[in-house]
Amino acid sequence: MPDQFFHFENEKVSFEPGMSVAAALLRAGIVDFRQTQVGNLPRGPFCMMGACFDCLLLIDGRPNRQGCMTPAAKGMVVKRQPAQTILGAG
Amino acid sequence: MRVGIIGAGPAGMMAALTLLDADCDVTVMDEQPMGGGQIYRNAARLDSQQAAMFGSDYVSGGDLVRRFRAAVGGRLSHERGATVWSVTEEREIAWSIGEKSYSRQFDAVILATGALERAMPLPGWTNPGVMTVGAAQILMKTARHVPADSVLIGSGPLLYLVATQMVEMGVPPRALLETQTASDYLRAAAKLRPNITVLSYLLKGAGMLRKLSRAGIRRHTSVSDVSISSENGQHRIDFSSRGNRHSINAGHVLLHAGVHPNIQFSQSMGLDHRWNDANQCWDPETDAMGRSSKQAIYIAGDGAGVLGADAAKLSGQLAAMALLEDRECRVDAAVVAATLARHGRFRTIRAFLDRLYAPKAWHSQPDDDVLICRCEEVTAGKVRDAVSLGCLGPNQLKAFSRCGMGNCQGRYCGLTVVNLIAETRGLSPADVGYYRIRSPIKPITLEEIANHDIIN
Repeated sequence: MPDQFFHFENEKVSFEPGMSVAAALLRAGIVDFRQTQVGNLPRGPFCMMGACFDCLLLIDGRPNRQGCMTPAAKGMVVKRQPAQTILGAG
Repeated sequence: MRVGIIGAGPAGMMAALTLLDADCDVTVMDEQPMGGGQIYRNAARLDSQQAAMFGSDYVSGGDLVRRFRAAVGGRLSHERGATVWSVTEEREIAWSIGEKSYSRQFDAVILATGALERAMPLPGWTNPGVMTVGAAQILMKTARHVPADSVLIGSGPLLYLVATQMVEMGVPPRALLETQTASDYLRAAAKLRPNITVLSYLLKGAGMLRKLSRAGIRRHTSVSDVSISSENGQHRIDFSSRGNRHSINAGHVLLHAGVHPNIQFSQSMGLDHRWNDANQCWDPETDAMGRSSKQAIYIAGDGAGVLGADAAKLSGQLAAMALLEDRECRVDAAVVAATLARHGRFRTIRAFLDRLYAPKAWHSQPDDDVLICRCEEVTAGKVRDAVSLGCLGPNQLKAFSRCGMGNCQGRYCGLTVVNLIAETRGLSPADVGYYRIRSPIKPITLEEIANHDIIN
């Protein structure tokens, strides 16, 4: 099956059906997903199973989406999450 | 009778199949789109050649997932992609699927929520590109992508398993930095009580080490005092091994210090727990069949105490049979006795593994400047300062520092906090206690809670 794509910042990232957004980004060599709220430091996936909440992203304009728990979909617009994002705001 | 099972790993699937045979109505909730848990993640989806790279245990796990999938429909319902955010001792379960929540009352509940990898706080462990060994394996299973040029740090069977799977997939790791020491081997050997389960584990272990050696993978042992610095996607690891300082570069850094039960639900329900000194963690209190301290609540699999996937299947059967016994349904006593005996044999090898791969003080009690709470970015020093100001336990620590109050709700700092407070106050971890865990146990909007549907 040919790969499909979603958008991450200014790149096109390919995925196969069934992959999470985080898995597709890691496969593309992208490890830096967000800035932390307290220290404003870069952070990326740690557990890949929905427990650590380190892979939070802005997905289609919605903040605090768990990249490892969100299935990748064609045409999604995914962005790094900045430090000052409020949990639950959407 | 209607039974709710949380978790579709080996324990949850086996419990469901056992109850189905006894004509119960069963609902299994799991966060993933497919059954299998983390251990058999994606196992039913990969073709036989892809699955074979992960070994025969994974292939047979795929068969179990297919058996479970075939049983869905009629009396068995599988809620996929379902994040459970509340379970009460009155046996009401609430879950969320695609930002819509539901709740339902059950006659009995089986918790089969598995294990978490123990945190290994050390300088640089929060840098992007540093993940757990289990995370790398999930990436391999779900995206068939191996993190290139990896260095694996820590100890335990999963470290070797994932390293050999990387070799099998043609992207071998650069090196293994193993924390166990020569004296760990000696003390662990004293715990060996050979039986068929123990022998098969030891043979598997020896096979993995042979494969790594043939592939020319460098293994450092007695590793301690590790720090990671990262720049432009490259990592430099400084460490001690057998008294000498070394440094090594890596494309990815993967950490693993064993696994411990995921106790978020059992704690939030106020079930009894006991400190497991051998595996340095809290285990829920259960009898040999998986009965918890509260009526009609059962715990199966690694969530009841870590014994691995094969034991988890037996434990799922045992919990289901306990439930049936308690409801005065007919259960074959000979099957119960045989399953209990087989399950018990896994405790022997666990005693050996727990001793050999026991967590080290240098990572369970890190230096002051190391972050221990990844969410609220609290250092070990801040915890020690709070204790010196009179903070007595993990719950007060929240008020002092916000430690444990972030998104992960203490999953990755809880045990470190217990160790740090115990060490600083001169108490045992058992006397320190644990965070009070409350629902919702995963972040959810108030709107979704308010609008949730009650299923009759």
